[in-house]
Order: sequence, then C-alpha cells, then structure tokens
Amino acid sequence: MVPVRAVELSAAEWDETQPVDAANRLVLELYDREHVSLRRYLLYLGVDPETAAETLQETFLRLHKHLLGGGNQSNLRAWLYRVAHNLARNAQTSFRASRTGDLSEANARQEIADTIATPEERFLAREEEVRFAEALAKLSAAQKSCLLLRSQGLKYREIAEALNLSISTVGENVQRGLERLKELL
Amino acid sequence: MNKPMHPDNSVLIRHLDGELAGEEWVRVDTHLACCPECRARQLEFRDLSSGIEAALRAVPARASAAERVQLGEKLAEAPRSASSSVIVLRRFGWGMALAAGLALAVLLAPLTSKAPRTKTVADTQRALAAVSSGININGETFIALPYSDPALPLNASRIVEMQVPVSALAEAGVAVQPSWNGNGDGTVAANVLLGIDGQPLGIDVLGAD
Repeated sequence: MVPVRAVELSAAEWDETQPVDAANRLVLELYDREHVSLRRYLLYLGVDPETAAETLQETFLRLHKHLLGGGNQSNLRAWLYRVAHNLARNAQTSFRASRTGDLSEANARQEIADTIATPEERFLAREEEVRFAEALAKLSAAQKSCLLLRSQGLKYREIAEALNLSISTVGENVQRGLERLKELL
Repeated sequence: MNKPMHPDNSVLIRHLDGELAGEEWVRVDTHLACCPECRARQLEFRDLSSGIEAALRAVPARASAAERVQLGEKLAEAPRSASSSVIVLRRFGWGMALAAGLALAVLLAPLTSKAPRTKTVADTQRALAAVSSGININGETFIALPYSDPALPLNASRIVEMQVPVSALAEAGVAVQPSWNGNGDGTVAANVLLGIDGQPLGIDVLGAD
C-alpha cells in the first residue's frame, strides 16, 4: 500500500509502512504531550469540564483523520488549538464572561507545587492567581485568547494560525492585553 | 547629544517574546542594556506574563485514565468507521463521483452504442489506456479513474480505505456484484487511490475478485 505522506515528521515518528499505526501512535503521543495545556486553555475560556473532555476527544480524533488524509503536519500544535477552540466555541454558544468563581474552587483543589513551602506562601499564591484570573476576565476575548496561548508557549505565528488572525493582530492583542492587565492589577 | 529613542511597548513585548529578529533585535537589545527605564518597563510585562502563566497552571486539568483509553479505542476503530469514511468522502465527494462515472463510462464504452462523456478526447484516450491495464500498486490492482493527472508521480499517491455507498456506484453505472454489499448498510468497502493532486486515481472494491 502506498503510504500516507508525512510532512515534516521524522522517520522515527512516522512509519511509512504502517500509516494507520503511525497515526495512532502520533495522536496518542501528542495527546500525552498537549492535553493538559489544551484542557487548561478550554477551561480558562469558560468551557465546562465535561464539554472540554468531549472537545479534546473529538479534537484528537480529527487529528487522526487529518494525518491519515495527508493533511499538513507542519504545525500540529497550532492545528490542535485551532480545532479545539472552534469545537468548543460551537459547543458553547458563548464562553462564560468570567471563571473567577470556578477558579477559586479549582485552586482550592489544586495540588500545590513543591516549591511553595509554607501555608502562608500557598495562600498568597492562590490570592495572586485569583487576582490574575479576575483581571484576565475583563479583557476582550481576543486579548485573553492571545495571552493564554502565549502563556502556553505558542509563537505569534502559531497563535495567528490557531485563532485565524494575522500575526500583527496577535501582536496588538498581546500588547493591549498586557497594558490593560497592568492597569487592572 | 540626542537622547536615544525608547522602544514602545509593542517592541519591548515582542523582544521579550523572542519575536524580533536581526537588526531590530540587536537595536532593542543594545538599548535595553543601557536604559534602566526600558528594562523596568519590560520587567513589568515579564512579571505580568509570569502571573498569567501561574494563573493558567492553577487550573486543574488532569484527564482521567479512562479518557485516554477511550481515545485509544476510538482511534483503533476510526479508520474503518463509517463516520470517518463520510468525512473523507465529503472531501472530494463530487470529484470521486465524477471520476467513478467517467471510469464506468470508459469501461462500458466498447459494449454500448453511446459514446462516453468525457471532458476531452485526451482524457478518454488516457482513461482507456489506464483501464486496459489497471493500476498496480504493490500487488493491489485499482480500476483507473481518469480524474487525477497521470503525469504526476505515482509514488506520492496515497490510499484511503472508505465505505462507498453501493447506490452511488449503481448511479454511476457500476455493475454492483452481490459480494460487494457485505456490510448490510448499503455500503461497500473500497480502497481509493488518491493522486498527489488529491483527486481519485483508482478504486479497488475490497473483496471483489
């Protein structure tokens, strides 16, 4: 059988003799690598946990089809964010304006990082996170999405691809979002 | 002596994000090295960025092990599921229907009085040449479809397994064999050979002799 083409993937990642197996492996590998970041992004946008879980499943299934269909593999991380973002947007007609309350609850359940030693430090860290969450909730949807994706380590061109914006618009949203946060905090 | 121009916030943030290159990066980097005011301004943006990262990390986002297992199961089923086939079919639906129609017309041409409908004479000749031999890929023989450009390299083609509605084959004039309808849902499994241009190059109905 003629193999499904793999673009910009190393031979170690893509076995041309077994494209279906290779696609399965790659999808699960990307899931392991990216699902926490993707889920956080969706939750922070106001998607409820159940919808976020369903969205992630569908996103990675679509990635599988994308790979087997010979789709472009040059920037799969941006592809994942774009598909997850659009699926979640469709699933929930509008993201909730604020997740401050949920985040406070979430913080209470979160395992504190080892580097935070004392209860006082833990409390202050949570306070700081809530303060940022409140401020982020006051940004425009585009500013918030750009800043969140930037925080996940995406480059401007990846954010642009994920959100279907121009790179210069991403830059503007990042700048204005940070300036607004500076005013708010 | 002129006071050096301070970079604006946009430039400082792009420098912070590694989004500057070449001379612009050098110019801003050099300026920051000797301008405490701009360094302080950039530091504020860095602290804000760190705060966002911390707030984002605070969101509990662990998946249950069951979610990963569920995904693995769905992946194992996906390539042969009807839903994935529908999506693949949708990608080039009319192209495939047209290609199947053209191929059928060419196949039936010697047996009927009607001339096959083709786009050009060259297409007909090309299709006839291909049909006479079929396309052999690693021992698998495909009925040639005169839709993909035969001038394109074959080694960049790919094969997609899909469920093709039998009614679509019948409508296209393909003589449906009883053995082709084994799925019980009106579809037949087939490997479709796609050319590098994404157009159908050939079809092999699975299970057909």
